[in-house]
Amino acid sequence: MLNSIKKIVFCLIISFSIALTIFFTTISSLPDYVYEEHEKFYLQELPNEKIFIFGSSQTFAINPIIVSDVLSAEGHNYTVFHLGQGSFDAEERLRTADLISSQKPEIVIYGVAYQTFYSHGRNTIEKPIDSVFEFPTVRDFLAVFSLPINTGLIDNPKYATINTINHFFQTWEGKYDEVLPRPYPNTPFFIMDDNAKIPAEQKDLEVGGRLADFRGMEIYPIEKNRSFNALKKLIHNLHENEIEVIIFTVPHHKNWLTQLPEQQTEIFEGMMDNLEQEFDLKVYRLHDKYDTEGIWIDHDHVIAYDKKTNFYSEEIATILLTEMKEK
Amino acid sequence: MIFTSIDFIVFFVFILASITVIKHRKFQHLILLGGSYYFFYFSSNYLIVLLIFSTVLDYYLAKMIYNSKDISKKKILLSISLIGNLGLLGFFKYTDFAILQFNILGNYLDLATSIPYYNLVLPLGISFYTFQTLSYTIDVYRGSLEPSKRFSEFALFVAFFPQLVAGPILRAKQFLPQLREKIQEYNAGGNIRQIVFQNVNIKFGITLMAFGFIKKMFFADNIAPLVDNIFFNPIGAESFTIILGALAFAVQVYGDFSGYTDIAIGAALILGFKIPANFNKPYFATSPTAFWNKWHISLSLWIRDYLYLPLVFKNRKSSTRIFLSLMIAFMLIGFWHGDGWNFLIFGILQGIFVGVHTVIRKNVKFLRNHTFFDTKFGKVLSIFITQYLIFFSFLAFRIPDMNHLFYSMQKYILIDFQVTETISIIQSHKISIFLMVLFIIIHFISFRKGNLVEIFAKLNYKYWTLFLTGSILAILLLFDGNPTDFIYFKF
Repeated sequence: MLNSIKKIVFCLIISFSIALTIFFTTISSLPDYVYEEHEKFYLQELPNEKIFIFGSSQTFAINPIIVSDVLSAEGHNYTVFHLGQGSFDAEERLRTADLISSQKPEIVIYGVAYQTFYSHGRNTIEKPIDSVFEFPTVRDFLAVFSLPINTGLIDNPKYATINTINHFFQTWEGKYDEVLPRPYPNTPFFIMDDNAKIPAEQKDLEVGGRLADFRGMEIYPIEKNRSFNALKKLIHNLHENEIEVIIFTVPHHKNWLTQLPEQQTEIFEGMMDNLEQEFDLKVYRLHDKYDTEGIWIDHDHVIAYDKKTNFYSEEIATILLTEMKEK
Repeated sequence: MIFTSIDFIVFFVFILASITVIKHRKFQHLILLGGSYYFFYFSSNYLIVLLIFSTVLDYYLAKMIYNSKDISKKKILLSISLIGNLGLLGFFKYTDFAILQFNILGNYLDLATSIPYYNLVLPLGISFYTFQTLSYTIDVYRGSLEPSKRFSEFALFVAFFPQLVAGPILRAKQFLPQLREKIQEYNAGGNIRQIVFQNVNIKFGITLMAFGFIKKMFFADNIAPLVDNIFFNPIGAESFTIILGALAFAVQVYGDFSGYTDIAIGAALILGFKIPANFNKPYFATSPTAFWNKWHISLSLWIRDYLYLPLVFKNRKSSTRIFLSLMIAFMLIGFWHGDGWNFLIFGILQGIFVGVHTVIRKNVKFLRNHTFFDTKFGKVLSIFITQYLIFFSFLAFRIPDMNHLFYSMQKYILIDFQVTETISIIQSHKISIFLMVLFIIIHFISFRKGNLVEIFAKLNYKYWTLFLTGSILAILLLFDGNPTDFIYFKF
């Protein structure tokens, strides 16, 4: 009997040992393809005076060359890099925080949207009430130790797995080593996309239309929102490295904004207020500023490579100039 | 503390080690009770007071009911228990919902004021433990159970951590004897002085827990993004998107809830306690009635024993009475799940499905005995139709917004045969779709080949280790870094 229990315990120990060994070995040896791509960029010798623009696909239409031209016309000579990337959320960006800081950009300007804070089915455990006495968790205990491997992947192994599967298919299809065309100079992570210059039909953007109908996801409140907390950690990290951070909200079509549940607007506004108060920075709100016809691909993407949308890049330059004047 | 957190694993190993070292049953029970309260306090903090209140109330009321000879006094004492438990449940679960309805009515009647909300926090597991303590008092009142002699024993029955927050809803008759007897000799009536760990129980329990973790963390949590994406705002969605969402939610909620139950039953079994099953391949049910014999079994049985049977007791031959009793029972099941109209709609739909099926079976002999339903095709068709109806009612379970719900229901029934958006959703959720298909295949194999847990638990140690290693690895590789709470924690 005792032998059997010993066998079971032994099997359990062996199972955990093998599984954890395979897991850690895989995670630590798996190339973190996205991280590597960023690492490759940040390890380059870049000009001294530089500005980084961050954001996801909603910032695609920002042309860094226009931004630097406007700045230069005002006597500020900076090289502007647009380091935005499609679906690259704040948690992902946080993983590259050390790389960003290593380059010491003068300013980081980050475009956020409602979509930046969508739940994507991920929620955290809500503690119903404040504790009378809070017991320490195992996670708090483990946080003391630092691992000599890529902790970004340990924090979210699912991301690493999906990344690897995607990479496998890309390699299989021969797409991984392709040198992809970029939309503008100094945009190392965006890929040229011809669809980005096709404007949406106006009827689709009307209320009740295909693109104005709100089909979003839930936004969890500040205390539960992983993306928002990652964004705050990133800002902390950059501030610690004396890098100025500016936040702006990306333009959305007004018909889409009117469809938003009130609760989402409140949470989003609450987040922006929270950033302004906690980090003593100004959030430039562009999300409800533009409603010109013919500039939209859909409700939250303005068309790219088109003179009509140069205003977007110029607006970013104006924000930068305002901040520089205030300094 | 949720099962899928590392805190639970450490806690469980600690409890297991403690009762292994301390070899006296009385102390083992105290460790289990202390551990259960710690487990509850970890997530619910001072709301533990409600759990203790419910325990104390029913322990003493049941004793008084048992000792009383006066039937009217027994009734008064039972009423106090009902008011106390249901009052607690009603106050914490439905007060703000009731205020909302009053305020809507007030607004409609142009009343200038509105009642402020209490913004009450729903205490974890309250729907489960109040039903559990109620069943104890009702059983004592009915004379089918002797009250527990020791408070610690009863308190452990109410707070036993594996099933405390999301069931299965235990009956005292099932649990209390196990505290007094050795689990294997329970039927033989032998006495022992300590909890004895059985090799078979431990191996089966660990296998069951592994299945539970896989169902929850590998399947349900990774299908959740697809479901959330479709149902957060389904207005404008195609019919096939809604059907895909309903199917995905069915897999998610089953993986989530039956996963929890598997972990609960497995953990209890390792500790030497048998908890009855809560699921039995519900998606292969051939009728809505059969579905409720296979889905959340402990709740269906509770409602059957304490509500439905007393309702139909006086006239079992009346189809109208049976139908109405079923409607009341299922409306309560619906409302038990939460304080939204959508849950009531879920209950009403289930009531209609089960009620109509029961009445037809009772009155139409030709259909009841038709050999067609014994053929393979007949069974497959019955399963298909049953699940189509069940998944339809799941829309109400998942979608709280009434506009969204009615739109989805309409699209689910009146198929528009559009596929553009559905294809795009499938393309952007490949992993969720893959897991759904994999789950359906495994579920089908389990239906055909019998209980997979049993098969895996009987593997020799070499293959069993391989199974455990594969399970742990699968969970780890698709873990997104944060344990997510179980759907039924909200109830």
